[in-house]
Amino acid sequence: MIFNSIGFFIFFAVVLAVLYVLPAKFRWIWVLAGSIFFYAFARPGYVLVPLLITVLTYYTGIAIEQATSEKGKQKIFVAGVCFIIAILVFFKYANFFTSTFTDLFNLISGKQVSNSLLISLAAPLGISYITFQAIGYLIEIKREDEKAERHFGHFATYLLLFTKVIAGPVERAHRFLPQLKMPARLTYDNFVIGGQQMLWGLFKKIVVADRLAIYVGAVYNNYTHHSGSTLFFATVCYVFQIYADFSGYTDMALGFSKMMGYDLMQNFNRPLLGRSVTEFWRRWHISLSTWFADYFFNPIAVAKRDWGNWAVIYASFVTFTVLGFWHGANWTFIAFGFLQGLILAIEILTRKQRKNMRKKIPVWLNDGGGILFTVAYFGLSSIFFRANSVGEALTIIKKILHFNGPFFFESASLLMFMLAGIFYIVAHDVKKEFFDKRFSLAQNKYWVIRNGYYCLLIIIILVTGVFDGGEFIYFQF
Amino acid sequence: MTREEILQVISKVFADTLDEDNIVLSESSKADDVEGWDSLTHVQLVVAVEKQFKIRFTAKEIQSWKNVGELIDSINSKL
Repeated sequence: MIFNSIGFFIFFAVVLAVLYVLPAKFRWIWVLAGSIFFYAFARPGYVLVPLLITVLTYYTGIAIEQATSEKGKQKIFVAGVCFIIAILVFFKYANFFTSTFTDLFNLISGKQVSNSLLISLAAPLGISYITFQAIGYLIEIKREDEKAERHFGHFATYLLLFTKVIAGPVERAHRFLPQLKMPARLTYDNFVIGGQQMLWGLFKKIVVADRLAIYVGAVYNNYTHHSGSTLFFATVCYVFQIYADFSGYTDMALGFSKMMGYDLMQNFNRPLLGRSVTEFWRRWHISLSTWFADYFFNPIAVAKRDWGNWAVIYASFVTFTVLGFWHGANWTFIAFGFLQGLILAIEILTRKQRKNMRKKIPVWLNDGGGILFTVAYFGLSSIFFRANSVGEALTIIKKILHFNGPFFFESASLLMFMLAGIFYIVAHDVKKEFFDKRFSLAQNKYWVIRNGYYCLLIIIILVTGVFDGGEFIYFQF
Repeated sequence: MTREEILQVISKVFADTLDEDNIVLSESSKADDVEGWDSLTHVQLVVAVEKQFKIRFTAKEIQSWKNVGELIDSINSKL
């Protein structure tokens, strides 16, 4: 059941309707039941995995808090985290490790042994998002920054909430749990604001992303037959596809949650308008990048701080390589992460020079140049993200650099819709970034204009939406 | 040193490290309020403060600060 399916809308309508009539005190039970049903709907047996992580994290949290010595806390914490990571590794990375090991063995020994340990299980949906939230929760308790939750039902609702369980945001326990203990927040305002955000997300997903996906898929799946100019254009489209897809998903997740009275954390802040790659990562997948900053990057950088700038560079490389690997057990993702670490290191080392340069050139030129560079670099990295192997990515880059051959497009109408979609996303973000206080359709003070805008959005979704576009890209992670 | 004096010294250290002349810190300042203070520059700021006061923080202390006031608490306890 994905957000952009009729099935989900019916499911959500039932959940929301019942939520409104239930007494506030018992609403979490209904939300939790809905979440378990939602998760089990696709593959019933798999729901046991997140349930196991939930039980394990809940009791580990309490045990860490109750341990009397620092050593005891550390032991329980390490055991709990290792167990959670073991579950993740088993489902997501076991095949990668055994295959890499077998390949290495074959290379050294000259034999042809096949990997007999391949696991034919698919990873449970959202397993890495659940894992991150569970580990973050345990770290906060270990650091004594937060208290362990003593209401199992509330904790399970936090970890398994159906609007975020599959692809985030990576919500923080101490931000979310208090919301379950507050008085009812099922208000008309929350319903309207949430509904608007959900609609905007749906628009980005099925009007923009899924249409771009048709073209990008056609080109990338037959990259050997396409010219450099076509591959270049497809890569530009892919940048906007992945942004519209993932931020569209997030807007829907946040919107649906808001309609139920829950605030989830912001995940995107117009990342393609970042003036540097560093800034891009402060605006892209914020819930995950801040998670990595808090629990990974900062501890490493602090521990190595005597190295000066190199501490930050080292921490960037380690963090982004792991972040890349998180996306999937494939060298392409490691290359993607490595490229991010590399550019961050360069940006750290040239910070002062760039700052001096900024003082000498006009703001618009500096901002424009920075934005262009950031998008171009993200485009380059996303070739690795999209390609099936590093070799394939390198071939595509080589072809793009030659930039010749005929330009391919399936039909003029598809091209027009794609360009219109990209234009609208860019215009929307540019308006919000630079002219936020000016005229707004979505937030217009006149009821007619505001609702007219959203009616138009619904019409565009119904008329031009791609309804068989399938899953969100980030569901696989 | 009084808290006010420590705050002034930290402001100077921050201004030099971040290369921003007009940094005005208060005890309630957080990373979000200060231009250029992010997770990449945080460690550089910590190192600069340690050098200035000739002290050494523990990793636990560094992680626990919620604002500049708590940083001053840590410095105060070591002077």
